[in-house]
Amino acid sequence: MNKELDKKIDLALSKKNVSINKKSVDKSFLSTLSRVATELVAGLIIGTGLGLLIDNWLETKPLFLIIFFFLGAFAGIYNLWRQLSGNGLKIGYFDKGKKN
Amino acid sequence: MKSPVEQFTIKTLVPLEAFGYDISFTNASLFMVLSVIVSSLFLYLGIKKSSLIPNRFQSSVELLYEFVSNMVKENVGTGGKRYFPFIFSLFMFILFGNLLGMIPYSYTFTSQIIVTITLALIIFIGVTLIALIKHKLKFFTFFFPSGVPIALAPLLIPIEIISYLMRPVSLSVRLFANMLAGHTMMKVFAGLIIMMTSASGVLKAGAVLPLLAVIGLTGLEFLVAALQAYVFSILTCMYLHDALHLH
Repeated sequence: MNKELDKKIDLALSKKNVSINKKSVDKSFLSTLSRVATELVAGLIIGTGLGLLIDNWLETKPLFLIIFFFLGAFAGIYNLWRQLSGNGLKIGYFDKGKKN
Repeated sequence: MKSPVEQFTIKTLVPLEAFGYDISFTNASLFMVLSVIVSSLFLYLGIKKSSLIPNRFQSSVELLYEFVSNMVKENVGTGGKRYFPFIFSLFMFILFGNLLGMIPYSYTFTSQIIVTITLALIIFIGVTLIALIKHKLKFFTFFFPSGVPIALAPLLIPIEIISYLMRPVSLSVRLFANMLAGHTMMKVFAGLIIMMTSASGVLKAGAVLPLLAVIGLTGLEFLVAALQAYVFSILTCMYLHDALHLH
């Protein structure tokens, strides 16, 4: 008798959990979508800007411009991945599994 | 017919100058002032006759307050309560700026990148200062993720610094681009209606299509107006969280 009840409770709880998760995903979906859109552009802007600044300072045009262009592009993609994998936009966040 | 981007022109209302800089009171400034006044009036009148059983007006004020309060609680974590007034003012300013811009013949000041980058830079500099004061030199460990082989440092540190500097850019570009694109699109489709009705035959009957599109877009723009205010303030909360807790 007790086992049956437990089973029913588990079933009800699991259903509840599933529905809650679905809801939260739907709610944050739109905001996530609009957040990721500008990351790539921002990465390129900052990367090229920094590269040009360093070049003007050291007079090494266009060495750092090229390096920082790719670094900026990579940073944009890296941030996109971080955001979509559910880690948010946390700078300095590498591996979720290592902490636990 | 007017061009679809003419709505974004800044017109000087009261010419002013200080120390050689042009600080004229423009239509953008007017709507910023209006945004502050309207949001303050909205909040004040809503809770003026506060009762235990709120009417619709009071209820909407309380809903907004609780919404932002929960957002700060969930996203900033411990020690976030102190920053609630700032986040709430920011949210109301952007929300009412976006919504006032939806009124015909008004001006959307959030469609100017100089406005959004100023807001974003205030947040960026403020958050960096908070982190530096709270964590001192430990703040710079922020740029090197824990648990990464040291050999990757020369590659990862510049990427993390770029990621950090990207924050104000992506924050401001997101708000500005959304408002600019949305309002331009509405005007383009509205222009299509006029062009097609002045044509003849099948084209004239087809004018109903852009009309439907404009109706849909108006609804979408209201969604975007609220959503962008929400995204701007929730990201501010996340940056504050990072500054207070590091990682």
